[in-house]
Amino acid sequence: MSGWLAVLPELALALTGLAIFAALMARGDAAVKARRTARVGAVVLLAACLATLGASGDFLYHSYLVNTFSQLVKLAVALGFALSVFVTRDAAGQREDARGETFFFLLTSTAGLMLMASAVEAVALYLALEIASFSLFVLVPLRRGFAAGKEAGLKFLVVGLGASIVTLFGLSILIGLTGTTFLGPMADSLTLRLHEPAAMFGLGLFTAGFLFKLALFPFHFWAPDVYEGASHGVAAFVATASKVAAVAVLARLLSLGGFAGSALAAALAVAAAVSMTLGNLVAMVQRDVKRMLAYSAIAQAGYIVVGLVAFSPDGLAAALLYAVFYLLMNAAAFLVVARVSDAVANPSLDDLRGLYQRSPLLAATLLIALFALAGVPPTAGFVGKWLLFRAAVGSGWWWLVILGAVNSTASVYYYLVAVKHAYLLPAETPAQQRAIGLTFGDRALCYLLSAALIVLGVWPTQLLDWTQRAAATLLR
Amino acid sequence: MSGAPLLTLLVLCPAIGLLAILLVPGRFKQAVRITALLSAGASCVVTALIALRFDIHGSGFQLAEQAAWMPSVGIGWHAGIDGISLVLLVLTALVFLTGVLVMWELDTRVKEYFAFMTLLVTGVFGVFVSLDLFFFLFFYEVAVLPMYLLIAIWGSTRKEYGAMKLTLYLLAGTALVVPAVLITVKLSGVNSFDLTVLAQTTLSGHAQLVLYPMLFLGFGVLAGVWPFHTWSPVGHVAAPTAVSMLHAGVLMKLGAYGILRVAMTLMPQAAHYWAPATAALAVINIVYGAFIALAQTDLKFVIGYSSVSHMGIVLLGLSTLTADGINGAVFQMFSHGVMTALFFAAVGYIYDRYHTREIGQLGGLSRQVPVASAFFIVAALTGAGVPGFASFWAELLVFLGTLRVYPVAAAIVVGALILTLAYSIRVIVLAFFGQPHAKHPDVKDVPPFLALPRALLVAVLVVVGFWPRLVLDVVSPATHALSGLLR
Repeated sequence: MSGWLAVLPELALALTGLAIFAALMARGDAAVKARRTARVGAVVLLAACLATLGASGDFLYHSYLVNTFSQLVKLAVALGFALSVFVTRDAAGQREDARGETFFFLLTSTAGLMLMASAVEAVALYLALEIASFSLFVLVPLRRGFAAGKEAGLKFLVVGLGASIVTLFGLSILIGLTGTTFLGPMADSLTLRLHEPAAMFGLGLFTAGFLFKLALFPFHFWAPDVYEGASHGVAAFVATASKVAAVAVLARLLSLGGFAGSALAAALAVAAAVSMTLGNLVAMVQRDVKRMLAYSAIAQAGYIVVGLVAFSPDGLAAALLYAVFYLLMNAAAFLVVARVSDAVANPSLDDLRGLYQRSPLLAATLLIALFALAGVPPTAGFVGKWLLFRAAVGSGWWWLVILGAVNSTASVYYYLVAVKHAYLLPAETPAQQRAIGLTFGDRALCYLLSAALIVLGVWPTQLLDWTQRAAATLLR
Repeated sequence: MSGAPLLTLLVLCPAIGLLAILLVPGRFKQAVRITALLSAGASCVVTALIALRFDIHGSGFQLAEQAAWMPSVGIGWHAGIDGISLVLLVLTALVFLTGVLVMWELDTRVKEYFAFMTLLVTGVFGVFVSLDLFFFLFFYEVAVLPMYLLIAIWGSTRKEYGAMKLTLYLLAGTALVVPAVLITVKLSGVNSFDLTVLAQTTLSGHAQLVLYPMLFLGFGVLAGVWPFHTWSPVGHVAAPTAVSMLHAGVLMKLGAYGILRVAMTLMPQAAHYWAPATAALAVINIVYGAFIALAQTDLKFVIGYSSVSHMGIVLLGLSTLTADGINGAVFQMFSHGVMTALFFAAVGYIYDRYHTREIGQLGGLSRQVPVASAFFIVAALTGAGVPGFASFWAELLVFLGTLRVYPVAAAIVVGALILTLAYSIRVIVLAFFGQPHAKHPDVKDVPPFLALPRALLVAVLVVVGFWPRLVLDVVSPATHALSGLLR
């Protein structure tokens, strides 16, 4: 039964879940115990994902596939979970009576995301998506003392359920057309029916649920409110782990076959173009740093889809690679956001003032994270965007790439405004002058994330190799 | 080629300097300065070694180094230099060293300043040695971005505006260049960003005609091509002394170098087609820059606009597509780099001491601070193309090249040179001669330590002015190869 070793990450998930559950029921400060358990669990989970990186297997009547692709995505999701747990710290931003539960729901959401990476059966995929989403529906409105948190939670729920319904409807059309719920046979059947509008329509609707998670236009409305309304750690999770898994599933769905040059490709390209432009333009006028990051995320979703619409191995690999880079950049940015502000309020640009004096390390981390988001070398953002654009040019999307390049330049403006506040403008109020205390872990994480963003920016070769192999397994 | 990988080492010199500076605690300001100086000194030594190893009779790219990087996506580390890059490497090392020395008195946020400055220089060296387009643009942007912080934090006069304008203009240029490069590679049908590989392929005429302007204007923004030059005077005025030196002295050359190395090499047909248009833009640069410089009251604005005018000479030389013209253009890149560095270094001292750069509030400086004034006057005379200084040869060569291809443009340029002389003389007379201004503070002349970097720049201008073959013999084989390609 050595094959069962391939589900080590899932096993680790289940055990961590039980352990956190037990910690929550223990006497004493449940939140502290849950946090410790979550931290240990995150490390175990990472180790399990690393250990099974090369594993392969086929479970549950061919509906659950373990291969290079799924394991790479699980590793990234586990990394996102670990970083988010760390950013959450003691969950001080969550409602007092639900601080420990924060870690539990983060874990269940992680479980959903990991299942998404391996599910190759449409119903399983849908269920995994719902597990991931519902946990977040619970977490987002639980923010302490932040009125907009409730609104964000409601919006997230309503828009999320809307996307869910659309996804189900698309799924029903696909099942009706192809007579199967397995993605492999479905792809074979769809390849023969590409000329049928119903096939395109069904697939287009089915992808909607995942575009929602990615916050691509026109499914982006929830993002600014949720980023703003959720507590820092939860928002970090939504911005990192959730995004990687969404990119992965989209890559899986869009690699089903034969869509290059179809109406679906054109629609995605237009959505990407609007997403980039809209996200960047609206981000320019934001004062709330988390809201700015949300609009930047909408723009970044556009860049990723530029790689996906290439419908080529290069494009899939580039999108996966960029998703991993994106996870690191955003984790770094949210780490700074969480440490600069207290848990109850969101930092505005003015709260970044004088950051270089309050904490040179946080300022440097923010600088590197923002430069990476802007796509400036030597950070990973540059090579990531280069490969996305290269893939898109390879498939003839010239206008999209030129638009993407122009957008990258425009985005530099608001990233630089944030950098300006952190590095240039002096602090004005006493609150802005207070030194920021960082734990040893915070420091280590700042150094690690900064180093990772720069090292991967100069030498992404190994990671690129993995994503290429992962993309190859998708295309069979 | 055998021996140590000198070119990679050269790029690593400032990069290691950057790491070392980051490791030094910020409160040890002197240690930070010394680290920066060591890094600059090491760069100069390695540059000297490269120059010694370089064979001026050789052809093609020398000291080549290659390493696989991301072979699946056609990206590899390929470094190599010809005479053109060598001259610019020497220029960069020179300005780096003098730039560190000039900023020795800086006292605010010293560590961050030298960290960003070494990062910038890493980018510049990287561009000049890279033969792989990915790394070329990688370093190109590395060189651009620290500018924002360097200007916005340590600058003067409208620094935030100047810094943001400069950064956005230059990045908008790369937004044209990156897609153009990606499309070029796609159309040439090879999976490689290596310039030497791409140069073997031939793009169709139509593709060239569309892509060439994208590359020319994209790189041209950094070279200050009209009408995208407006960031340049504003940025130079706002920047602190050494940043102005590096920026006007070296960074603007990156733009011209990009045009020469990427656009003209890969698209010779289009270079021919667009040459009259680019020549016209260059002439506008020369004349317009000179006229505006004539009307400025701030010393740095005079230099800023003179740079626009002088970069026009570079672009005109390139647009002639002749060996003489390109020789002149490269010569001008070198001499303008040294001259502008001297200009800004001289003004930097005056501004530090007098706290003004307004010509109206200066006057008679040559009596108070004769040495400081002499530096400025030498730079101004060089700019005016006076024989005996480096620029004379550059302008002469460009003029000869232009005369053969565009006689009308040549005539206009001669007129503009008179304007150049006029604004140089105007500044010299108003600011440095005549009666000293009554309100002048009591200012000491340049101390020897601060005079050293400036004197070094003067020496280079004079030596090359009297012995132009020092540059020309190195550059000629490369420019002849390029102009042969363009024929």
